[in-house]
Amino acid sequence: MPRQEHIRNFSIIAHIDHGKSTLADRILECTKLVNERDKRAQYLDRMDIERERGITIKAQTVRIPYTADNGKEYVLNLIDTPGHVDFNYEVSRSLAACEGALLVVDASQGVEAQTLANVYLALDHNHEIIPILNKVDLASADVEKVKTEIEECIGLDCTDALPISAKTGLGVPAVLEAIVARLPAPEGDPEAPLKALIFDSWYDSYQGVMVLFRIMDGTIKKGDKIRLFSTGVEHDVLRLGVFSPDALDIDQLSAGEVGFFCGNIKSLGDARVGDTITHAARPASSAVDGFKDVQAMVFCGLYPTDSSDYEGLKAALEKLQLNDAAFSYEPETSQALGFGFRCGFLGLLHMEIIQERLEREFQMELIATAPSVIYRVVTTDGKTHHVANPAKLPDPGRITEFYEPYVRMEVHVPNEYVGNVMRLCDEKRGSQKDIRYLTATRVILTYELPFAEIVYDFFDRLKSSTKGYASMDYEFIDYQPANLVKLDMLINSDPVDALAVIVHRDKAYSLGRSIALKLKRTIPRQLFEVIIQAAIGNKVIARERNAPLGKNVTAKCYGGDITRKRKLLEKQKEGKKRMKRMGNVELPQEAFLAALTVGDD
Amino acid sequence: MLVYIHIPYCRGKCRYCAFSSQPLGRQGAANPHGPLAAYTSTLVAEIALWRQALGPVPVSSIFFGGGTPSLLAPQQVGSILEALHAAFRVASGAEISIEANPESALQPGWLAGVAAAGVNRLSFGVQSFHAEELRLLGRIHTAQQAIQAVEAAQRLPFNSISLDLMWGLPCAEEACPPVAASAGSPSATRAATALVRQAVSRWQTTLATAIALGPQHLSCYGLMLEEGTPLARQAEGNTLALPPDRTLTAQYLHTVHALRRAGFAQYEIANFAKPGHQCQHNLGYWHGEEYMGLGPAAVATVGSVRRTNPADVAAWHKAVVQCSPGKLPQGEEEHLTPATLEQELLMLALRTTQGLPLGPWAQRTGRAFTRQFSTLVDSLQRSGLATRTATHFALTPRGLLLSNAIIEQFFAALPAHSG
Repeated sequence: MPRQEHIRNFSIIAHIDHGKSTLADRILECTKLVNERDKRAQYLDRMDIERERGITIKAQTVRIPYTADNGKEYVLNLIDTPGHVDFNYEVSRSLAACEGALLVVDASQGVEAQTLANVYLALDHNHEIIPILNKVDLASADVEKVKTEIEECIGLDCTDALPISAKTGLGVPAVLEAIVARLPAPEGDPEAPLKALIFDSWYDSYQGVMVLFRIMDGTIKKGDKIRLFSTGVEHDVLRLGVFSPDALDIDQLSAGEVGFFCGNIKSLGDARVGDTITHAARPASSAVDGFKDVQAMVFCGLYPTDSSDYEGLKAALEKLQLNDAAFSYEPETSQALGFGFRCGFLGLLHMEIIQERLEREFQMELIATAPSVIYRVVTTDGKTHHVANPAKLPDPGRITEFYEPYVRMEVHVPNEYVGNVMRLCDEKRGSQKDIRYLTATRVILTYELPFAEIVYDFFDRLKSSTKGYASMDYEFIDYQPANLVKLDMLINSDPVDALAVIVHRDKAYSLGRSIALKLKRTIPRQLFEVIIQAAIGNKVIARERNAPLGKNVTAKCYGGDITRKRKLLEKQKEGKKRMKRMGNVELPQEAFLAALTVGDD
Repeated sequence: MLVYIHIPYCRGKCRYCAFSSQPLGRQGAANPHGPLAAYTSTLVAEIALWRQALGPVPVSSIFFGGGTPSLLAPQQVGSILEALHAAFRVASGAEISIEANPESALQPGWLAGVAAAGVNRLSFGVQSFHAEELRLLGRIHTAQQAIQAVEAAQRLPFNSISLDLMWGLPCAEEACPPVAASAGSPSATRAATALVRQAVSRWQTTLATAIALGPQHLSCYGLMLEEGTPLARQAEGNTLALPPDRTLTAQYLHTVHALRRAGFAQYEIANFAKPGHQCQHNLGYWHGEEYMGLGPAAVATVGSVRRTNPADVAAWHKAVVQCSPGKLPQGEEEHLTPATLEQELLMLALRTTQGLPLGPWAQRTGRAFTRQFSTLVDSLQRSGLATRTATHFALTPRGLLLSNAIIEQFFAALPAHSG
């Protein structure tokens, strides 16, 4: 198989804040691809949310022409991958497009769970990995210790690990040389039938879907008629190009190369990540391995605060889905919240990002219900139901089997917090599978636990019980039977569907009490008495009461006070716009998240 | 048409008052060429402007408010009233009120003078009969002066005498030492209850003293801390123990009951009158009548236009003298949409114990009130916060105490509009 000796395709693996985006910025500057004038921080993170949170959500590529010290000219394709457990599938597809990776580890922090998960993914793809120790200019950096850590936990030889400071640019030229010298060139036959892997796609309002791909075999030309393997749908290549760093049109791309094309594709669903592109006239015999349908794992209800915004929310969701095939939604009606949507997400971060984008980019005012996992329920008629909304749980009398999804989780934690993490995992119904010392002071705990327990307040609790030192990663394993019940919350004797949660029976009592108390504190005192109850079936297990308001009156209102007083009342009314009225009672937005935040006070 | 005249001067500034008034020394008040004389002649000029703009409209009531209107000399009050009589068709027997501070009303000849000038209703700013409370509020009169002033007025032929009183007053520190026990402990709860009792009993004394003086009308206002006032700053600095909600509720409900026993009917959130002595001028505001506003910072609402005069005396003077004939002095203007007028009607009518007249509401809006707001109306009635007769929907005394929260809910249920 011919090798494309002048090409290197690589990704950067790093934990959040370990310096991935900064290193990418330095590489672009060092190779003069981005000049002083256009320089900005986190060049590759295009979305505001990506920059602010310091995370990458969408994959990016950049083609970097590089003249090595040996005088030869190379093309380096940097494929920037998302770095979060929610996007594992996307990460795996981006990695499949590369031959090697730079592993960036913060020399003052050491290896984190997320890093490890992605390194394993890269190793699964037989990647060559160059360990890079970043932030060596910091006083707290301990290069030798972190090298030992990498060697012990990944088994990666760190003799030639590169010490750098992405911030100052120290060591970056050596990184470029190492990419050329140590990473393998891609191989593939430019004459063979076309076989290209889609590793990202997004919707552009002018050009339709833009598809990022890596050619495994064959050659693609502008004007070609291509076919997508999974659907058989055919498109013309209307535009072909590379990002370097801005879009640059090119007439043809061959095996080993990375680029994009537009073909008047209307829907992201027609160019899904992981799918294979081939020629309509001369198709490849097989697709690139690893294509799968991504499944939403976490669900929540999204409702417009003002019910007249329903159509606006629908339009916003449609637009977002154009750019994110992993996110799903369907109309749903709640007695409490009116018309809205049940939305599915890859994970909690994905959910937060979508909610944030709806509020920011589409100015939607939203009420979100507490997230839920998908439960599997078998009823007496032998049917299996997938329940993503606790309010839709079949009548308990009809349920014969009840299953919930489990994950296997790895937590990396300094040894002084091991006890805290174990307590937390026990409380979250976890069972310990393994405990290993990564180094003398860092421990890897492996647990299996119900995913629902993670969806509740797990991340926050983990952070606070380890002072932020723990990092974690998880993967889904299976569905396991569980003793679950639906916990209803009643406001003035009416069950509020949007507040129902599914919980383990042993925890129902204490959770019911805490949610009722949380609701009491969240719901402001109002004109009328508010009685909050938690119930399992017909049995009330907790009760709280909010006494009605005592006094809210303006003493004087004469001719000169009328406008001011009217405006004041108008303003108060506006301030309550985010409240949902249920009969007499106004429920603030936070009330719908009470189940999530019971641990906060 | 109601006529409101604003007097922007005070002898000294009360510590709870946010209104921009100008302090006036004793000499200033007495000087025939001083600010009050200048004020009076500008006001007479302003009356002429309104006459030109509106013609000789009928006037049902005149109200001198402030500031401290009792700083005006009876002759000055007289010339303003003369100008009004000359310009408009003032109804015979029209209610003509003036607000008076006890110390200035006691100046020799003042009460008799204003009575002779045509004033037939007096409203005394008394606030409290407790020396330490008067001090805290920054009032410059004593309880004794208030009593003397009321007694003096009663010997003159005024139709109604009213007293302004204040409940919900904070404790000056020396009167209620901070509770040492930790919050929530039984002893702290006992101490807190004792404080509530003390506060309620102080208010009971003030109210009983007022009733004993035999006025025909009482206005009882809960203290509102206005931003930027010395009292508000003191409260922010935590050197002032503001009474808890339960004290305020107890004081308010006590007011309603005690005054009812004494023969005063509540007719608005803060206003109580013997039969036939309701303040017609103020009722006019709550019934949505039109009103002229004369003097600095005065507000007028005629038709769907609300105009506010410049608050600064000099700016107001300039606006009056530079005003072209047929126009009104330039100030802030607000155009009230039908939807806004609807909101105001609701907001103002629900302040009165008579409540909102259902017939006119239906006529005006084309909707039946109790159907339009059926859920809210039902819940309010069921909770004893409102009552409903064939002709009116009204809040009960307990409802009045929550009127902001209630009106806000009506606002939320009103059809959306751009206000």
